[in-house]
Amino acid sequence: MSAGQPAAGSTILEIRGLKKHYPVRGWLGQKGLVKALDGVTFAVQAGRTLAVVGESGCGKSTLARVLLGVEPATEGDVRVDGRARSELTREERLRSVQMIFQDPYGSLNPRKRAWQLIAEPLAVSGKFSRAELRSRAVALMDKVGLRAEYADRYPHMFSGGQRQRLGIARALMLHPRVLICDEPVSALDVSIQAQVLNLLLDLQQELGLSYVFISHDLSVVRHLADEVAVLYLGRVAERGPCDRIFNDPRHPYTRVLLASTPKVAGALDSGQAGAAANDARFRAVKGELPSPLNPPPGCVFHRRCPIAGERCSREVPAERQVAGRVVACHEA
Amino acid sequence: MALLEVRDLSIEFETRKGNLKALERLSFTLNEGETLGIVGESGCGKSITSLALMGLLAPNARVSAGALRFEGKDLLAMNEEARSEIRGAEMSMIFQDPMTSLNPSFTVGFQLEEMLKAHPREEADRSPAGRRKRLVELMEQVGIPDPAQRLTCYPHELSGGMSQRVMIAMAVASRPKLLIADEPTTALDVTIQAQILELLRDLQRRYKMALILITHDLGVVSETAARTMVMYAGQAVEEGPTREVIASPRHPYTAGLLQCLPALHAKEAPKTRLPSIAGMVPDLLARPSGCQFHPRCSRAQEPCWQALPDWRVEGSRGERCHFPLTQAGGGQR
Repeated sequence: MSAGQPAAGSTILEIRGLKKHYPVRGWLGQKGLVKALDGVTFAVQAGRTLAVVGESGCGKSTLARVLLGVEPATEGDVRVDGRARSELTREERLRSVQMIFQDPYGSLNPRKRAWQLIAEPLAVSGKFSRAELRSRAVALMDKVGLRAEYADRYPHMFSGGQRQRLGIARALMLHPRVLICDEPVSALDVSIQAQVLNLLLDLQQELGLSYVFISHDLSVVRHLADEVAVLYLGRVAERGPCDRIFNDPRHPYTRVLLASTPKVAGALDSGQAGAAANDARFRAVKGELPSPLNPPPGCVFHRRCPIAGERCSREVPAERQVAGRVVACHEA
Repeated sequence: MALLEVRDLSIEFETRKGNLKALERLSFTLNEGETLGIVGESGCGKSITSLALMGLLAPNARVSAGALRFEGKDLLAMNEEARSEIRGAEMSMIFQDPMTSLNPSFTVGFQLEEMLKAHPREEADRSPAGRRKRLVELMEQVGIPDPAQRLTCYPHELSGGMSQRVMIAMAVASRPKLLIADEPTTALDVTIQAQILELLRDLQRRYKMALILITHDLGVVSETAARTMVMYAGQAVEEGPTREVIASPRHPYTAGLLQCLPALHAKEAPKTRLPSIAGMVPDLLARPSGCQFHPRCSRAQEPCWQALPDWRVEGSRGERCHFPLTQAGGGQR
């Protein structure tokens, strides 16, 4: 894609009614259907961050795989810069979306040197000399805060935070527009986590990158995101601007998540942590995520919901606009 | 008398690369029914402390202590037989990963029953019929729905949260006086984490059990523990009532940790750079001189790289720092 930086605020990545269903074969041959994603809609603006939050099994990782294009969607398409991904050439696809992973230990080939790992996405094209690849890799190492002397080291010689920097450099090699970050700091210690988050913020400023930031940690999301989409069992419960959702959550599941997040009391979270987040009804919610093979009828959250009405067990709530965000709830 | 008294507990390992000091002169006391949170990053010595208390360290560990007493009994002087009488009965432990802590080849009921056979606490525990009843009660107590049916399940049939509940049922079956929970909710989702923490608080109140909660999450400690100890590189750097430690940390490391945390309801604008602690945790085989934190500390001065500060206790708080933060300087953002 030879065009320069897109204007800030233009839509760079868009999905509408995205579905990903997996057929499951039982031991007597009967088939079930896991609806890992069931009609997810959102858009990511150029140079901005959309955070996808939710618990394990909510479809976060499936979403990452579909956005990246390693799995085809069952229904709906991913549109990049206004064009359906199926219309893009292979090279354009690779340059549109790249990914960094949660586990910096598992995502790097232990037998390659740092510069080789970083240059690999470019090396596969076969268009560049070894010296050229190496100099480009070293330039990127500098950008992500790794010293050039480390270029010949193997992954095991780096610490967790440094390995995550390696992963980021590798993802940036092809100059993607969108970076999917799948729990990029959850495996790191707190003091290192802050360093990596700062790096992501700096890179966004400098390169105009857009992030799809997948995380279960609401405090991190609050700090980093412009927009938030809360996923529950393959559907969007609530999505909209980050500050609205955190200051005035409308979907009961969002409120449950906020109330369940342990807060460091007394120092940082005093003040407005009250009201919405501390409503006793939403603390220590009952039950667990239902089986995706056999989701409850109506609203998938109704069995755990502290404010569910009679209608919630019958009708699937449609997404609607409430107070400047989209909510899928009858009671919101 | 304190329930648990730890004075100058040190643990070393002889490795091929040299002598590794995993824990250095750790001291604390724990009273009956009290909750102590131990916080720190990987490699700080949190888990090794709990293993030492339980007597579960690998045989190549060298343990030394000024005192290690549980209900006045010297744990280090005990032989293995006496120790295993206490372990599981008087003090028990739950681990981070409930899925791998249960044996996959036996039912939950079988494994729970083994616990009752090994450490019978009530008359009922001595007969099969009595145990049967107790098992159902225990499962109910830890909030497992449909307990009788769940007893026949194998561990893989349970979710992470349910497995952790089973582990907790096992740990409290003999009504221990001390429960050590090593990152009990780290592998769980936030809504399940909230349920498990609530359950631990509830059981603690009911049995007047002391709790040592080991975690990397300052939020979890803040909501659960009355007292908190912060560890760094195998040493305690600060200890005191949780509220005070968080509101006015004295050790620069504690202050740094608190500042690194993005806040859920921050007053400052989002998307600004977070304060971070430069550098990383020292290699325990090549420790820095003096204060272990000095290479990363912005306040470090000459005494800090010359000598390890002593553990100083003042009122309810203790710290290991040459230049502790004063009331006005600490914990502000």
